[in-house]
Amino acid sequence: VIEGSEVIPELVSVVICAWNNWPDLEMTIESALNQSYRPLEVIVVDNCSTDGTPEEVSCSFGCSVRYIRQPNRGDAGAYNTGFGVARGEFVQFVDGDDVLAPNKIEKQVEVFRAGPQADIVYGDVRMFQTRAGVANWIDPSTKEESDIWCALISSHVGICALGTLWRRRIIEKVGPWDETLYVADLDYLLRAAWAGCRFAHCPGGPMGFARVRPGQMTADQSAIARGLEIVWEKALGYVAREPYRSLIAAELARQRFNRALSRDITKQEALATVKLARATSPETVPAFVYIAARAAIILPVNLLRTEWLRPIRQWILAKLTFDSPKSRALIVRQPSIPGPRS
Amino acid sequence: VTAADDMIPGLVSVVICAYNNWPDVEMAIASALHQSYRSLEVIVVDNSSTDATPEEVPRRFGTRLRYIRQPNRECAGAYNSGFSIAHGEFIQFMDGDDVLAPNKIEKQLTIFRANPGLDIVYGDVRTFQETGGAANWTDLAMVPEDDMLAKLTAPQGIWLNTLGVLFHRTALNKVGAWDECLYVEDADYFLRAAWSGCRFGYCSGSPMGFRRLRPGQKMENSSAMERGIEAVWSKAIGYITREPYRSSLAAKIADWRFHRAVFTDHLVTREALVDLALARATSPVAISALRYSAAYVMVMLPGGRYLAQSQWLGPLRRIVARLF
Repeated sequence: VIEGSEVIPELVSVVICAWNNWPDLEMTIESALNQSYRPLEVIVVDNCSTDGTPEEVSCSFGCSVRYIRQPNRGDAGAYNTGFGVARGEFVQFVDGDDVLAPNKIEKQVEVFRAGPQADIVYGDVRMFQTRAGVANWIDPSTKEESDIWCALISSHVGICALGTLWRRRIIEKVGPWDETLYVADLDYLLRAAWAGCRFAHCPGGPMGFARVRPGQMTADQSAIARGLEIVWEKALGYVAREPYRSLIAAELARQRFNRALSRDITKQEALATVKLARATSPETVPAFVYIAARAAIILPVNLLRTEWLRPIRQWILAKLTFDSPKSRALIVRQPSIPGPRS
Repeated sequence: VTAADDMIPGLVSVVICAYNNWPDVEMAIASALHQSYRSLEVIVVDNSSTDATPEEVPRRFGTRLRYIRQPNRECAGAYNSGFSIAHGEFIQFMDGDDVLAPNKIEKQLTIFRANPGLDIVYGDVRTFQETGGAANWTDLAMVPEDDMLAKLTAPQGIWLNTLGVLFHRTALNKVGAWDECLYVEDADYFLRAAWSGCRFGYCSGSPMGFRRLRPGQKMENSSAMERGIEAVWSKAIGYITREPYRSSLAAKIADWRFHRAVFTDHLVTREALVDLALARATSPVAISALRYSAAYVMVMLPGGRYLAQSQWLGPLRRIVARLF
């Protein structure tokens, strides 16, 4: 971390994580460079891309961006490296797929100016698709939250890295992004909330456009479900205050229950997971739901995996409020997939 | 129309139509002012907005853009006024709801530079929604076209989006003014451009802009849009005299009327019959006697149009259609 004397007041540092997303990355960098706000610096951290990124970035942007190449450490590792060299009073983290709205930084700095006690400003993000076709996702909308903890845990808040702007001092307080996680941004937001950060809402138009790529959603659904579980498990390790602890336990139990009933898990694992879900939060998974789920898993006729029964299953899950809207939003909105780690 | 000596080579004029869309128009203006291509002027034409637009636009942007207020003449009127004072060699028209991609102008100018004969460059546009919720639309994919007029007049044709297009001044001089009497002015403008011999180039890659979907938007009024599109095509049949474009367009209009008569519930029985007869008269080739009489029976029969429209009878209808 840079010494305090090197911090330049008013400066916004945009840290972009690049990993094999040329030419999409071009628009990301352009959207950062051509903000209505000045002064601004752009730092591109390349997680060892094997595509045209290294040549193209230096060729197209030269010294208007700072380009750093490093071994692949996921988006969390890229954000850590980028923040390590950033000199801004405010920091924006962006994935190399996504696009900042042209006045995003300006709007959010205005919110910081109006409320100097705010540490993080968040706003809406809208999704767009790379390939033309039918749009079938859910865009979360953000609003002013009286209790950011409850919002982050149990409701559909839609706060993500792209839609937020951070004060430097708060990143120093929260510490580095966790590079061992698959869903790093939720963890970082939870830790920021735990560290006592004050979140302020920026109303109005979208702050950015998040790219939906073919394969992105469906292929990694189970990995994300698992990744979310790990984030909640980690949160249970440090969040001691009630009612937040129970809320997190309930969310974790829901995650586990949903994963037990998902299609990509063996029967044995499913039984173990549903048991774990009940142990995590007996209030969320009452005895009759637990028994019914076990029965459904054990039954030889595979009711849980039959494709044409899916609408009925979804309906039942929705009725039991086990289908958490947040998990759905995050499943759709997954940033770049980190490569294999050593 | 601006005299040619007023034109500044290399300059791009962005003409934004504003009508009661503050604060959305703020993002539209920011996306135009902060392009990666620098030689650029922004003209905001305000169709007499009754919201904060007249105070906020001059206050926030001052001399960085030219702001004109005029009686409401719809988008077409705003584009005409904007173009009449534009100095650009290239012109971008956009609605105050929408957002240009940060490198849109630069990307499309690269295509113009590589192909000096082009009049119009078009590219992809992506949709986003104003309020959160389930996404429910289809984004269209553009491809390079050899014969744009054929594509625009074909029954299963394509739609160009003004937001994704960059005009060379020559195109606007060839085509003339935007038609202020039409509800769907852009469809008309692209048809006329293709008819007047404009050469179209395609800009591939990332989206050129983001189009806003808002509750209560013009697009939402489907019956007015249907009427508006029909008016555009009826106008086109008046000037598109060359074959095969003319027959193709006639078939397109006939299909459109036929579809509205049988497959929508916007019309009462008598209107539907008139539309059906009109469809047959427009293109006896597209609407064969057999198709016409089958549709006539459907419309006349009580509940016949319900049979034609209900979702769950879809597979059955497809079987019947195949038999014919």
